[in-house]
Amino acid sequence: MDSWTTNDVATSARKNKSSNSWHCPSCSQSLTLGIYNTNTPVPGESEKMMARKTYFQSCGFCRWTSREVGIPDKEFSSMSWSEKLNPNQQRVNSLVEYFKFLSHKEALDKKSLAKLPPHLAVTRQMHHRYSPLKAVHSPSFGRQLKENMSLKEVTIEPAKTISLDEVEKLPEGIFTDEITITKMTGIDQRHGSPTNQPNDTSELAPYSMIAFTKRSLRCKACDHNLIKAEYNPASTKFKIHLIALKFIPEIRMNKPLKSLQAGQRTCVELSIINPTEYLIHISLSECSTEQTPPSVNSFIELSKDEIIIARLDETAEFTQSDDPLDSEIGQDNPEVILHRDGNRIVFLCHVTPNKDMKIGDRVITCLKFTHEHHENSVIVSRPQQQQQQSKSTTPHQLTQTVVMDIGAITTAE
Amino acid sequence: MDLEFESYGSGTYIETASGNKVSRQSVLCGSQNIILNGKSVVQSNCIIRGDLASVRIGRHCVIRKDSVIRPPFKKFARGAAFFPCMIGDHVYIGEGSVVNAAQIGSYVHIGKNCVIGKRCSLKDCCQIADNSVLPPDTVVPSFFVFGGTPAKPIGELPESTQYLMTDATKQFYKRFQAN
Repeated sequence: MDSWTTNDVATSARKNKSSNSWHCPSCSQSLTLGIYNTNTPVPGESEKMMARKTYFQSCGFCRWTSREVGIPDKEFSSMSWSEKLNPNQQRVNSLVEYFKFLSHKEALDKKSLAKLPPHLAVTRQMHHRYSPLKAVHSPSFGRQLKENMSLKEVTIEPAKTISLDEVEKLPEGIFTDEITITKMTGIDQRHGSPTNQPNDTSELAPYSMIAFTKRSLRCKACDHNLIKAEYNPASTKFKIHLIALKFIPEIRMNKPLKSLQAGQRTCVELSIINPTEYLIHISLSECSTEQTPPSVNSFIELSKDEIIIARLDETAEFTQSDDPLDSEIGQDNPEVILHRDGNRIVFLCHVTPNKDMKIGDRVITCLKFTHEHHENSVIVSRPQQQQQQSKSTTPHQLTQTVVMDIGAITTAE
Repeated sequence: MDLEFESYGSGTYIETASGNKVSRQSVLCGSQNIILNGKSVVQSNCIIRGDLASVRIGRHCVIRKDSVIRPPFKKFARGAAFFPCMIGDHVYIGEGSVVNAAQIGSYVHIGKNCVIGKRCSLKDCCQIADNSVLPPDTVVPSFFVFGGTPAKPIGELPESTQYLMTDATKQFYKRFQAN
């Protein structure tokens, strides 16, 4: 997929299908060009031999080649391979055309039936009667003419029906003759080319690869583009960098728990990473009973202290200073904060799984944390904000709910 | 989950000036052709065949135990030629994997016991699941997970893969320390 150029995919006449990359009909891996050197006599001089290269398609995994099916070799590597024609293509095309005609006709009928509001109908009539020049040059009149002219009549022959008597009967030996299984195609191979569905291996033909497209996402609330789908297959960069990881602190478990017992208070080490360029203050709290999701089956105890986390410093990798850059971070309470390392801290909390849990049940807990969010994103800039930027830079508080699976119950009570 | 601390005996690894940690038990053939760009970890019993063609490995790469990196070759009418093997930054190669690929992009995660066939091309931000076999000349596109034998697309990766891999490989390097 990535050996394609942008042109190959975007401008291909058949949507999203490549003309250069093919699937092996036998194992559906990608096909490569094989080269075969032949010695052919030079035209005119029968004694001299000329080295010539011919190209065929071959699969690196199952060793299928295009020669097995009788597809002729190409003389030049740039010559394109064509897909096997669909025997029903003409019928499908005429059906699609007829369907387009029907839908177009329906749309026009709807328009003409739609009634004009009464105050406009009279004005329009006056225009058409007393100022013919204006009517002719008006856009709506021109559009009407165009629409009526483009609607050509499309007819289609209904599909032919055959009576039961005319159907060919099965040959007599169909249940008793021996079958050569090696020459029959498997279901996956038949589904590979659904238009042809060959029964015999000698009819297998390569089918073209379909491009995987990149996702495009829009915000549900404000319809702003979050990820744009680009047809540059080689690029992993996204034009818009609005990944939540860069704005919202991440909470992770620091170490896997050695044992969890139902009803027993367990100490859990969690780490928080501050991805922003600002010092943040985090306050933790338990979820209230209404806000707790139904899957939560344990009780969590959190510290009421406010936790301060230093900003992300990208140069910290190259410098070796251990001094904290921000003076706001004082002494840490060792009962709460185990370890501090730049923009990452490890803190303690206690989780008590419910008493009725059995061995093997996953323990799920929930906590809420409030952090600051500085709205200085260059990408999300609206004209009103640019005026207000100089006035207020106070961050606003955001609250996140985190539901965690901390492990399975290992010992019974 | 954060990665666990891994320690090694202080004499068992060589730490180079650019921060690479290479095990003394690894086999690096043709070391003049092997380029480790910095802060990479090459664990014990790894084999890197720099004697066949040049091998270039990016920053913060992690090559776990018993893996083999061998440049691919192509047969021509008059013999075979070996291609250089280029591996990008922040690549994780799992234990026991055999890599014959011609090109591996950045931020790639290769699982355990994988076999990457000759002349394969793994683009940035892709993942190869454990125990999978990639046939020769396979191209693995970005943000896809390939798995199985022969490897086929089995899943997709999120857009934040680049940051996740950067974070994971940096954390691995930081936590891989001498006793």
